Amino acid sequence: MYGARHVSLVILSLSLSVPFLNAASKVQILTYPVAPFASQVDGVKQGFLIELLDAIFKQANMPYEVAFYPLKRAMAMVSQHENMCVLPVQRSQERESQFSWIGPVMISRYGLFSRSNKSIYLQVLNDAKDLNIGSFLGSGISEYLQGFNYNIEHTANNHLSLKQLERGYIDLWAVELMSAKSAMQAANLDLGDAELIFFTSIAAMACHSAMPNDSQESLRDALKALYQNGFIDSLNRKYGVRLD
Amino acid sequence: MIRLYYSILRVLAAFFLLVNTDLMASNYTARADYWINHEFQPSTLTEAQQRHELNWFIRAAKPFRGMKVRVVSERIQTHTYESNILAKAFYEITGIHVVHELTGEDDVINKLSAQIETKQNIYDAYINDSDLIGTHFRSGQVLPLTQFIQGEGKSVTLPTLDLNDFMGLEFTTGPDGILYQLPDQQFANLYWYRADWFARPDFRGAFQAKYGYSLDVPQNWQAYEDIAQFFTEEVKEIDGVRIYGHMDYAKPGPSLGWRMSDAWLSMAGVGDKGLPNGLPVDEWGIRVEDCQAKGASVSRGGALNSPAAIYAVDTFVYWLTRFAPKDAQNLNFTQAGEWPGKGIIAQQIFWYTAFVADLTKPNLSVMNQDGTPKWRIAPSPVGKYWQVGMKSGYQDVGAWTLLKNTPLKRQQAAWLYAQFVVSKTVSLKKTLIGLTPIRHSDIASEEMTKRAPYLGGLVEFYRSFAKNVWTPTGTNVPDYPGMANYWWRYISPIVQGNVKAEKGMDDMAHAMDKHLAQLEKENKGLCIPRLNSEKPEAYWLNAKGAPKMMIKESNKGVTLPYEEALNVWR
Repeated sequence: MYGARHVSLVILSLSLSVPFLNAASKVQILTYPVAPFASQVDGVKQGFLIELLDAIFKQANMPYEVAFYPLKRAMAMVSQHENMCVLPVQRSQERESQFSWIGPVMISRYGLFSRSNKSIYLQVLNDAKDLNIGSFLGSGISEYLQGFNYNIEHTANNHLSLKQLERGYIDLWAVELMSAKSAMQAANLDLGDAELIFFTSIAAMACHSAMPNDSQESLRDALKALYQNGFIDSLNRKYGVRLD
Repeated sequence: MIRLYYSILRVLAAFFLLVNTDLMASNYTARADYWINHEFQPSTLTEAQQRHELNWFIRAAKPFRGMKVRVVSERIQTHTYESNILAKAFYEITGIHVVHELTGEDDVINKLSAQIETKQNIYDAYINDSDLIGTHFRSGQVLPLTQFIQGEGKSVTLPTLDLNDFMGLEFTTGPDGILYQLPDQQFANLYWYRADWFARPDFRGAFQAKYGYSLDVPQNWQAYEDIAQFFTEEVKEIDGVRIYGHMDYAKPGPSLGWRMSDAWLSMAGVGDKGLPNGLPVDEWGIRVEDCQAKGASVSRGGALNSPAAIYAVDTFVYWLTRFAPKDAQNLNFTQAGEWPGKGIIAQQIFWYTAFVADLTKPNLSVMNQDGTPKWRIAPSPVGKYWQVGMKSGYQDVGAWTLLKNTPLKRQQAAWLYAQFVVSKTVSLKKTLIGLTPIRHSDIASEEMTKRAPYLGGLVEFYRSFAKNVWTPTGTNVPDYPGMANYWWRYISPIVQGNVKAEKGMDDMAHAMDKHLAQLEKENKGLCIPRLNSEKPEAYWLNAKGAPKMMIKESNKGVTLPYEEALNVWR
């Protein structure tokens, strides 16, 4: 028991010197700023995912810590550190073997928006084949569309895509619906409804591939319990997350 | 002011769109005629019959006009055609807007599982591989189509659907005799080879001299191995280009798992006799008695770590590392699919016919100038444990699957779309585009006879009895989404040389047993697993059928000329 306390003290001192990466006793959760799901205002982390994480880890009775990193960097870090996870990540065949997966944490729809002064009628996704579509790099949806040979213009974030759309540099903006709403509110713009809601994504938490099975099972069971006891339903309602 | 101007414009645009929708509403019949004339030819129906069928859709869809329906499928050419063309035609003919999403098959399964788990209506219908039939009939979550067609779906079930015309219906029916899924497309996994190289007198002479039999279609794994060795190690180059006698893929990930679980073990002869799947032991090595899974490991009567299973995996690794291009070890199923088209592969034992359309493009080096392919497909060779009466390979049947937790009206609208894309009005054209036939009437059509010489043996396969012997994963697997990942997770270390096949298969068999035990504990659904208690392996190995005793001796290679190889199945 003393030995354990000693180790904890060592970890604590290391944690203070390198605040995040050395907090080995806690599961380190990496996320990235995408309003309204996760954001950090004046050092306060908030959003749908922040609340969901808190509920999952409380339910599983596991300590954790959240930090913000860009998605690509976060995924690279998780593949190197055993006690780390990143979310939200689109689960795909290519990524399946690289991580252990806890999910679904979020179900989202993606739409194509045209600029506020121009409607583009889209009956099926293929109708957008000859148009320029903007999307932020790493969003998952730009990779999806590129896989079908759509013309994609990458930007660093949703706000830039929105600007490009309004300036006429791109014809359509491919974006997750809730994020689109937040970005429009921030820019004081109303593009109306998406021309076409074309894809549904199941996002999960991607953890290091060697995360112990017991930890994985505890987190999966906790998430399942939150679906069953109605917590996730109420969280969805609180943040206006719905499947249109 | 500008904002107000644009707002007015948008309102006007919406108004004209509504007017336009009304105009279309009075024009559905004209649009049906347009599609019959401009897209849905050829068809096994006359134009009058097509018109009759589409008129039924127009009437049946009336209560659902204006609805938006979401469906999802894997991304193969057949589904791309449905998503881009047929969904558009369906909207113009019925007024029901369908968003047909395309994604990876594993994502389809994850989404279907997510809808069951979260109870959110993510999609109104799924095109899901029939490999999940064992899961679906047990779970109680999938809408039984037999009951739906007679009950709440009666008014929206196409009178000319003609279920008996579907080739893959037995793969989508549970052991309870209930139809759970409606086939949308199917393709087999067959033997692919370069008929032009096999016909070269110099190669034929050299092969005969070295191996003592003729260079033709291999009937067993020994002949396949001899041919692989001949091309990779004897011929080596053709016209100065390095060529290979074998092609495969083994990148760690789901596609490696499917490479194994899609009947590789059945080709080796792991399971019992029985169609569409071995009973009591299937090609996953799972023993089922009275519809209850009893175990996967030999000690419980299963065969997943039996000598035949170890032989299957060892042979896969040996051929991959000795005869295939080095790159093969780092390729997945999609990446490997294009390799035969490069013109450097002599044969491939495990080749999905979903790639036929891609491999018949005129500019490829594997095509003749007259549009016929230089390659052929034939029934696959089998391993030394295989016996007559067992399944011989895999067939993938993507099938319409509706979940009980989807609201009724949405189920009905989605069911209309499902039937539309498999209706006789459109199915022959769809078959010619994607080459994934589902109807007897299409495969027997004159059009397919005309196309047969250009499709390398696909039509001949589907006109033979072999289409019943190449079958999907069956009903022995009680939890496909939960158990499929074991395959690649346990096979990958074996392929990479980190674990011996004996140890890796032991570990996988015990993981499967543990999973079955968990299902037994959860005690949910039908036909809940009841594990056998463990016994010495000799008990089961000495009993009749699978698991089978080790066969030490090799058999001699056997080949048959192409026509004779097909005749075996006629």
